[in-house]
Amino acid sequence: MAQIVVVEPDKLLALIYKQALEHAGHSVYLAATIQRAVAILDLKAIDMLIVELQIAQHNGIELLYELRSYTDWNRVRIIIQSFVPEGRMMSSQTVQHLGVDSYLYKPKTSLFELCMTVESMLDRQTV
Amino acid sequence: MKQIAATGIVLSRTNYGEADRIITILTQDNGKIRLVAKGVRKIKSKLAGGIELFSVNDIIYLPGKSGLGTLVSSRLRTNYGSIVGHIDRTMYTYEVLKIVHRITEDSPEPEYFLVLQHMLNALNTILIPIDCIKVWFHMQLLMLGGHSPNLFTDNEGVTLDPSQHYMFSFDDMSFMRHSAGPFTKHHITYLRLASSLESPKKLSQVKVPADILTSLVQLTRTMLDRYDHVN
Amino acid sequence: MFHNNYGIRYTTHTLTTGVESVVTAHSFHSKHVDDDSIRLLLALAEQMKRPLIQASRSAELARMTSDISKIADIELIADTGIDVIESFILSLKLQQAGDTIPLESVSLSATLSDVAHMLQKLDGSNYFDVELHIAGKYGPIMAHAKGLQVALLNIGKVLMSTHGERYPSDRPVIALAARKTRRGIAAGIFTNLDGLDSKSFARARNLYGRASQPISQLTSESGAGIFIADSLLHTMESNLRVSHYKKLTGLAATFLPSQQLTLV
Repeated sequence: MAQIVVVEPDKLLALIYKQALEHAGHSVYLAATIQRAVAILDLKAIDMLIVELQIAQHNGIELLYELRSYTDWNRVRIIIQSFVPEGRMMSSQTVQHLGVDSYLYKPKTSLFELCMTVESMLDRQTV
Repeated sequence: MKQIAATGIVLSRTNYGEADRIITILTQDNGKIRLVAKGVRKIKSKLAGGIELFSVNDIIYLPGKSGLGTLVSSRLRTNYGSIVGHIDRTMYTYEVLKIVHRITEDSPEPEYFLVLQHMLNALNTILIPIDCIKVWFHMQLLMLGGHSPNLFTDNEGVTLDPSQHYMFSFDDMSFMRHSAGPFTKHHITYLRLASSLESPKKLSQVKVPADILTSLVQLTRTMLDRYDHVN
Repeated sequence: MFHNNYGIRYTTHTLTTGVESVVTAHSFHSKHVDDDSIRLLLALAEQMKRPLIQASRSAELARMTSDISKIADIELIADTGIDVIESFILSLKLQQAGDTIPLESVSLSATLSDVAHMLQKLDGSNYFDVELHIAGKYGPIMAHAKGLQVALLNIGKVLMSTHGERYPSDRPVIALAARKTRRGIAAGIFTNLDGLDSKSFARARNLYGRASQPISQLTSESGAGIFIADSLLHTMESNLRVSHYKKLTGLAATFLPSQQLTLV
């Protein structure tokens, strides 16, 4: 069981992801904004972030850079699940630098695939 | 100790202890400085307030020993908020900050601040094509680093001919006449403009086909990688 | 209606793929097709990904958790998507009508009142304070009645959905207001959210259909509803602009009073 923050501005999708991940046995916190995500990270021992990049006023990239600027948050696993196709990311170097563990294209990723990706991240972590 | 007022652009932020942050700022008149922002808890330090990225800030600080000063106060002067509305611009802006941070390891000239300010302004202006901004940036860094390519004569000292095709010699940092070369007068003229115009905004007023811009981005980036070791 | 969740998933997957094909195929459009219409179509296509993905994932969740009550959500989601498409089709039809667009005398007060009721109905959980502010009496305006209603409804829906992306400290307000100005009767929809100003809206007019977040300070979505509203109002020779009402910010347009009844 993991503590997961889902950073998702779409209220309905956020609830769907929360319910799916809770059904899979995880604790899920929702954040519609970057600021809320950081606030949760401050308060809880979070294992994983599932991040939409397209967010009003700020974007998920800023969150990832902010996250990586704190050494104690470097162990948080990151899954990007976004409307932004992966090809638009600058380079694989940047993706690596930001420590992104998996990139999922939202229109093509089912809940099942999302849950499986989360499980495989956590299995890797345990190993 | 005397407080110093400065205008600067934040290049990076890292955590320092339980509640402090180390902020690296490129200033207009005082070079690059590192400051401790004391007691800035994570919950407040996030993406808002006077020490955020993608902005020009007016700061007051106390210089410290061994190069680490203390931030006293900060006020946001210009925020380039439109950048974060676009993922690719956000990514590139972080890259720009990283490059400038690395390239200004030793004492930077004041021109680096101006270049960075122009870059943020251009990236914030969504209608300026990002490739145009990149070409301008690369050429400015090459010039400031003393590694400008030769845009007037070829590798044999002959004046560049508008009717000819060229390849580029990275060893000589000059163009080489070649019938199958990909570079023409359009490329060379654009590079001249990129090195002489004061901002990407002015350069964006010169319209060139996208494929020329793309090839120039690659060319200038390779020049930069060779001489400034930004990777 | 679909028989099972697999049907929904397949269909929405097909539709999402189709939407993506529209987004990538724009470079092959006929030279004769208006560029603004293409951009609006692209913005619509981006926007439509959301309800389709919402429907697909809702169906999958229903199957995963064996909770068939979620099927009801899919109806609402589908209706939202259909409404946006219908408003886009209306805007294209009115554009095509050009000078022959059937304008009529329309009561702005009545239209605002109708839209306020519709928005209130959409807000099932009473999350919003929906207010109607009509100062004074107004004569009718010349407009396309359906187009005007749809435009205002679209604006209201977008402003309501942006609240879902924030954590406002005050209770969210959606105010429909009208007042007389020197140039005519200004009417619009306003809310207590930041992120909307004249400069960013002007930029967004250039960016819709080209950027996935043209009004990034306001919403993470393509905001297609706002640009469809803009297009609808444009056919009635009115334009959307950022405006303020009391301490609220929103979008408004100015309409000329109908001279027909005054002559009578």
